[in-house]
Amino acid sequence: MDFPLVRPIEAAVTLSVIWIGLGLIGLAFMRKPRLITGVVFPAGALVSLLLAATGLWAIGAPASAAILPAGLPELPFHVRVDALSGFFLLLLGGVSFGISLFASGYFRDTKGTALALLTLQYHVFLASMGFVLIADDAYLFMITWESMALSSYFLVTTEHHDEQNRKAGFIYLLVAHIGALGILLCFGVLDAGNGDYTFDALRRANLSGSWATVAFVLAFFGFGAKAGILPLHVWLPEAHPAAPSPVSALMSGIMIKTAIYGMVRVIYDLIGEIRWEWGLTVLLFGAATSLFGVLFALMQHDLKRLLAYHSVENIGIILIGIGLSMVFIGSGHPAAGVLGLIAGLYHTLNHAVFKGLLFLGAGAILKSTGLRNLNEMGGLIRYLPHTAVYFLVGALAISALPPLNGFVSEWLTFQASLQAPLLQSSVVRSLVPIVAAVLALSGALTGMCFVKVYGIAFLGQHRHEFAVRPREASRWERAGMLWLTLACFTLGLFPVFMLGQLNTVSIALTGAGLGWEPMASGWLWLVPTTSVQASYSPVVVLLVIAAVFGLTFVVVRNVYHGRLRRADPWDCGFPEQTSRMQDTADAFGQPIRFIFALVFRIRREIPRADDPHPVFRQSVEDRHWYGLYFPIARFTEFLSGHIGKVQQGRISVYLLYSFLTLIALLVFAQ
Amino acid sequence: MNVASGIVFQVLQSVLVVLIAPLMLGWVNQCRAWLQNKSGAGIWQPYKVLNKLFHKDAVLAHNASPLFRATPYILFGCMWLAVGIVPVLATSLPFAPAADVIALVGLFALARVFVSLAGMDVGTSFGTLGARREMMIGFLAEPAMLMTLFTASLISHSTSLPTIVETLGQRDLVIYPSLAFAAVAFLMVLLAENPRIPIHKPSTHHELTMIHQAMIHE
Repeated sequence: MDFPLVRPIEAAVTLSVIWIGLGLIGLAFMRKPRLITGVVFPAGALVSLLLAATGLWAIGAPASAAILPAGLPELPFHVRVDALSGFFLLLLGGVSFGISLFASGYFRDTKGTALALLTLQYHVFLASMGFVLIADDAYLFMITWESMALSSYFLVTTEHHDEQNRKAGFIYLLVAHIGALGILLCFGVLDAGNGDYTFDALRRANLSGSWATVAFVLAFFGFGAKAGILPLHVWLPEAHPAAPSPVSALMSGIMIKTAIYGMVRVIYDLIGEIRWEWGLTVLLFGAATSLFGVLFALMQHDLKRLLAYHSVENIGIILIGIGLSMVFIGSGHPAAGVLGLIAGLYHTLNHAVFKGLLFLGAGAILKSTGLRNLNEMGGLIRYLPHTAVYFLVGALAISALPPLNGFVSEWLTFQASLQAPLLQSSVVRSLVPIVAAVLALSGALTGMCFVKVYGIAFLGQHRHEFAVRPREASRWERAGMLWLTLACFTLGLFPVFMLGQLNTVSIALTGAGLGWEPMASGWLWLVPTTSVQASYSPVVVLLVIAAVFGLTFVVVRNVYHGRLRRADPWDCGFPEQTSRMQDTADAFGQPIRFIFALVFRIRREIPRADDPHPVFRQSVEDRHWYGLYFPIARFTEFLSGHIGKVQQGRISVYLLYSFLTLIALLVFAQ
Repeated sequence: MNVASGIVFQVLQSVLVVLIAPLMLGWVNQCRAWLQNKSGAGIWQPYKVLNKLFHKDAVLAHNASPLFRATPYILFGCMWLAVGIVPVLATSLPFAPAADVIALVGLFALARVFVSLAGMDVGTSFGTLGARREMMIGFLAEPAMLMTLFTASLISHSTSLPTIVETLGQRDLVIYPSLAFAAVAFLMVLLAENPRIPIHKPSTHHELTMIHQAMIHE
């Protein structure tokens, strides 16, 4: 498809600038909150949809670049859209469409300056993410990366009256800046001393062996801080619950994916020559992150914190796919490497969709009931039936159950790991199945966690007496969740289309594709390598289950009788049944606490036997705070305390410093 | 094999396995009775029980949700699809390319998730207890089963069940040590999932020791 005057790059830049414009409009109409939620947010949603279409167009179109008239006199901004950027623009646009629709309904009751500022920050956040994806030189990339971090910081600390949120914002900004430092140094290394920081120049610069590894380490560290890889993940479970729910959905669904974009861009495109040792590092970090994330998620009783830990887990799964890809490409097997890359990128899209859906569901629950603690929810399926259905789809999708989308990307990752016999190094060949086992374990644990979440939140009896009956989410909110639910089904039932798009992306990025058979099998069968080796048809799975469902239903109703009657719950004949007799969220996680006790830092306070008011306290904390962050903080304070002695406060001492510096310069700067 | 014989075998396998499954249960219970020096109820007992239950009313708790009503049918659908793709009678079944070993494990997981959710639906203590324990067995047994099937996949370079069966069936009797380990692991998973001693005693009537029975109390 070719429009003579417009290329994908012009469309992408225009749409991102329109977002900034919408934010400013929102600020201007501070006194008209109805206008903001009725017009500005839906307009933003429309821009998202157009951006998604642009991204899809850009995947198939040749790369288009432009130079923007903004920037410094000698350093203008370069922008470029190629297949990889197009894919991530599709992700950004598609998911933010649903989230902006939801936000139109969610922010309906916020008034005044808060809403206007929120609108500005929200749309600037979206625009910066758009620009990050199309930036073609290091200068624009760092500017937009920083504006993404800053605008999201202000969004996270929207409710800054609560000290917890301020602390969360602080740690978020701190880790974001540490990561940005890593990325900046990485660009410096990639430049190889040329002074020209456009991505074209960075691509052409030839790095010697060890400098390439330094660049990889810096990129992995820097982008990993934003993505939430172990041990730089500590900001995720603090920042995502603190932000308003649509913002959490944006951050968890899209922002951490821009880090994956950055990693793929730097490693596959700018560095170019991939080593299998790098892939092994990525693989092992990914496996550890995914297992760690899900174990901690099972311990949480705050719904949004739990979802944040699941984001950590899924980033680990994405890295497993990308790590496999790097190992195979580095060992000289591009076809298997492409499969791993496609699996990782597909999971990126899938996670954005179902994590966005889950956070929106959590937001709907929070708005209707005011509850965030799972231990207080229960039986919400009766009050929020639509939200319950959408949340169920999101929960089944994230648990990687057929025929939804989470299963497709995990299936592709497993298929990639089964190419392990191609490798020569026996160490790597035996590590890959171990990583596959860790992936299977975290998938199974995710299933358990979402049985816990859905069962305790929506099913069972009410654990909280509501003064006012909770009302179902408004139409805008339901529309946003419905869009993401339909996306889950489409990506799960018709994966071959997206596989084709990702094939184009990987050909553009690495030069190798999947081969003829995957594309020739038609829309019904997903065949990653050859049909003898593996094939999967989600439509057939769904149709068979639905057919058996219908058939059995009809047979039981007509051949036997169809009588149904309601009675009290059996509960083994016990007469009393209060809501306290059900499991709480912490109770459901007890087997995990028992089996995986060494992973957590558990502190228990057990009352004495003769205590008249016994209280049992238990806290489960992350060891990284105590092992890594607090020691570093204490050391920094110690160091700054000693360096602070330089500031004596007397002018005579400062004059002495200037004098000594002058002498030193005169002596040494000959 | 041509398409017609494939379809015939598919239909035959699907219907036959579903009909014979209660017979297997009856046989296991009969053996257990004989080992305990009792006379047992006969191998046709499960059929009689099923017949009796189908003639009864369906009783639901007052607060059971639509999910509770739908779960038995979804479960049956998943298991029926699993029956359709595992090569029992033949390997050229038309449904077999729809799901490979990973999808098979995924189908079992789907069934387990739905039955656990149904257990938590009415909000009784035993339902949630059973659901919790069922998921605990599940998250340990499911990756184990996947890994044993992977062992077979790595050897036959395929995850498609017909291909694995044909490849391993046509090779010479070479002993793969990995397959021996995998067989032992699969036996343990079999004991855990079914459930049998030493993981669980299916004939227990102490509710606090139940796993699956507590969950399906309602």
